[in-house]
Amino acid sequence: MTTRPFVQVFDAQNKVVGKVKLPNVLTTPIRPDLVNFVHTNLNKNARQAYGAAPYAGEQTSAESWGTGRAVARIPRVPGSGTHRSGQGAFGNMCRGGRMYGPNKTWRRWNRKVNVNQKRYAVVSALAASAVPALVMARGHRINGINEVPLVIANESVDTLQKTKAAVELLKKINAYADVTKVIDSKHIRAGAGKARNRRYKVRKGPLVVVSGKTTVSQALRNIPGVEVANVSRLNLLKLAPGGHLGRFIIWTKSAFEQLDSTFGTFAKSSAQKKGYTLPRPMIANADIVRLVNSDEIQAAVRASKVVVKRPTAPVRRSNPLKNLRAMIKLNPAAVSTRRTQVKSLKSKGIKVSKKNQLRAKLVAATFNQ
Amino acid sequence: MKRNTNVSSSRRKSRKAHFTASSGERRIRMSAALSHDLRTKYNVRSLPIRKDDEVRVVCGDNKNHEGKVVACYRKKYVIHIDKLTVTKTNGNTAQIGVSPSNVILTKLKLDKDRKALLERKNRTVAADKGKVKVSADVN
Repeated sequence: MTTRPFVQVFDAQNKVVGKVKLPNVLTTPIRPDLVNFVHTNLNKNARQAYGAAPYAGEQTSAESWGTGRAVARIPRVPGSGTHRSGQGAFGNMCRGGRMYGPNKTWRRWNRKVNVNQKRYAVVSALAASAVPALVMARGHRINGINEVPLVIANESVDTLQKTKAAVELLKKINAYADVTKVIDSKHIRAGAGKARNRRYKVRKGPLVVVSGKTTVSQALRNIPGVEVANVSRLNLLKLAPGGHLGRFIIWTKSAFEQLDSTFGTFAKSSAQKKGYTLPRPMIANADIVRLVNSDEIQAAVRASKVVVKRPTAPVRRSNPLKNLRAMIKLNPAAVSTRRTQVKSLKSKGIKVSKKNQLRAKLVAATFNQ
Repeated sequence: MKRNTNVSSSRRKSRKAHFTASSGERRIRMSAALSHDLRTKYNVRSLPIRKDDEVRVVCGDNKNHEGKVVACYRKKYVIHIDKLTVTKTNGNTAQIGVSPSNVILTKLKLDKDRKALLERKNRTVAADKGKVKVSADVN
């Protein structure tokens, strides 16, 4: 979101010749979800109906022979005297039959999009075009240009009639890098579109937005990737091709100035779109991380709760078959068992080692506790 | 945007036109560019190539080969150039076919009709008359 109050205007020599107020449209909320949704729907509105021929495979009066003839119950062509009679018909498995699930022309080809959503999407796409990071993220080569949004004086654009002069201008304002990118991007399309007159694919270059009557479209129409749009008839499909925000836009000064009346401001509704006011941003500064970490907020908030985590003693496992204490824990009866063992050994005159005696005592003490 | 309904950029139509072109149409399709000297002299960019023109090959294996056109093989869309031959394994020599788009005309065979054609295609004359359409009669 750009918050500069003014934007510089450049002439054909790339020199500053003035400044214009930044229109409110360019500071509206950026809603990629909405733009994507509106784009997918609007993109469907240029489709033409297609489908299989309506009666293909259905132009026979075939009837099933029913059961009892030792043949499949598929409808069969009536009559005799031709090879066709008696052959199966209609079914998708039949020669000369209709296909399975043929495409019909009464599909819902077009989509209605709410006018407010369309406007929101356009406005959002315009706002995104004023953010250099988003424009670069879309893949535009804008490293050389002076400013985003890029505004050019009317005299240098509107009267252009020759492509040569237009290329010269684009080079002067360092926007030609984006055109070069487009030219380099031309490649043969993957898939069957090659054979259907869609042989090549190219990227999109800059969009030149003008106002009123101009000859610049003649000058620009043969430069690959470059498109022209009129500010009072902005199209989302051009502003966010592929539903991706951040088209590189070159404005003429008059077109840029017209934005406030075409879309309105936060204070005033639009002059061109009846009863339309711009969507306001929910928060003035969308950089939440920066906000949370700011001194002001950090001074007001409670200190974070420190949770001291004590280290727990490591669990020592001992083998109950070797370690008597561990055995007693599992089996209290082990004490008396051991004691009787020792006693019986003693009574038989077998020496019990001191160690074992001690251990028996110890065990007994533990048990009595 | 499509500006002329008579012009098609359809691959299917272009290919059909190319492969089914009649001999007369092929004559025009087999045009070659003029060398810089000739271009400045006649103010014409390209001409349908003909036998006895002198050409220079500008790309391919035989680049820079110069010679006289000995045949315009319209059926194959190629021209045969003097001394541009290969020896076949059986010892015969065969002409190498060169596409007219890969040669430039260095010397024109000038007869009455060729002169008239050059006259018609002269771009300065056309511009003087206010006719922006260049080479409307040919190509």
